Amino acid sequence: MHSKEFHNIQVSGMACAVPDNKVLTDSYSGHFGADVVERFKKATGINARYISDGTQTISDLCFVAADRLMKSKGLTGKDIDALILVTQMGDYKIPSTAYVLHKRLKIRQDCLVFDINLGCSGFVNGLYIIAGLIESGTVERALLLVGDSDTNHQLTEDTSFTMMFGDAGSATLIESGKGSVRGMVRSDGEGFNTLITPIPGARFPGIMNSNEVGLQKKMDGEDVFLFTITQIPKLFKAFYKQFDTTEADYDYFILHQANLMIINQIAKKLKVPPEKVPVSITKYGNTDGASIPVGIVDLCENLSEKKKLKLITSGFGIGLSWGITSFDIDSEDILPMIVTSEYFQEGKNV
Amino acid sequence: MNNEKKMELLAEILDLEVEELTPETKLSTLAEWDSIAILSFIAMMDEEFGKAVKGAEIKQFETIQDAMNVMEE
Repeated sequence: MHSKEFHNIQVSGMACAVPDNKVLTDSYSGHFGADVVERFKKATGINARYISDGTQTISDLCFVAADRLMKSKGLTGKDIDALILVTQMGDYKIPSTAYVLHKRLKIRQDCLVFDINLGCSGFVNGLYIIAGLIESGTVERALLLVGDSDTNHQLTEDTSFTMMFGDAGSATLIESGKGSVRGMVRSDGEGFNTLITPIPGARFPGIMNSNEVGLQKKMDGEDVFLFTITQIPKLFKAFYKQFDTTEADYDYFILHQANLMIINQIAKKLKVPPEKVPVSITKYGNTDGASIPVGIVDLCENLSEKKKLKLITSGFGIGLSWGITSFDIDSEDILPMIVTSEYFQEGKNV
Repeated sequence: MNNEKKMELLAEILDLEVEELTPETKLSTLAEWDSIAILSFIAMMDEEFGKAVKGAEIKQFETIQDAMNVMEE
């Protein structure tokens, strides 16, 4: 049911921003021991991440990414019809953090603005929704902002929570145009508690620091892993069949950067050659919903020449939610990675 | 699949030599039997046996033999 080819749509620009605070995985050797850190690096692929020092929230990172992207495309707030932020770490419990961005980006009132609460599948779900809005004629030009920024990174005994997640914000410009976007999404609420954090409110990290039983964040790593390596290859096969396409039709497979084991396992099961599956987790860690745009930015930054690319992307995780989108981009439209220390002082004084 | 091949797969997951393992080896005595080894076990079961094994079930294993017991198609 939820698979569709949307016509007359162009993914016409993308930018990502990370906090100006690079942390090497090796720096945790004193805490966990060098052997544990080595084994973690080998399995996850993570050598470094950029993380918030506690001031920069997702709206700060997405603001910088969107602002640069709009400037590079010669757009102002008058040109945007929809602004959708996909995050699970909004600045406030209410309102939607998209409104903070609506203000900061000076976007007009004649605009559709809201948050979607999704993590690692955020980019594909966001693109799927926006593609539908554009194809229906409701929206001409949209900004899809996706990512998470944890303002409460802590040194815990849990290797995953301590060393796995990097922060990043992404901005993608999607417009009516001559391209097309294909999408397929799936959801399973049975897994609602395999990845869960009961307490919201990233702008005030102290409040999130709960030790109350049952309120800590939780990740059932084994079950998520099993879900991923079985369901994602299955969904790719369904996608190929639905759209009469094959692995050979795509230049790159941009997979959510969950960890290297998952990436390798999916690539292996799909028989995709490794050179078509870029790995960016080594530099940025698992950046949740932003990891697909981060992967695209990293890929384009490292291309020897500008070119048009056929991409197929897949996000999967919290929900449980998983999906695939395919679309073409011109690498010229993709800005290099931005590193920033900017944050919204006014957002603290509410 | 014979036991010899199963032991080889387990040794690979644990980053150990196959000579270091016997069916009686207690997993709790192996520092290598960690969360990453469990994920590798899940991946191996999916790949080699087409079987979905839950983390909770794997965490019940006490010995190498217990692991080998589920390694069937």
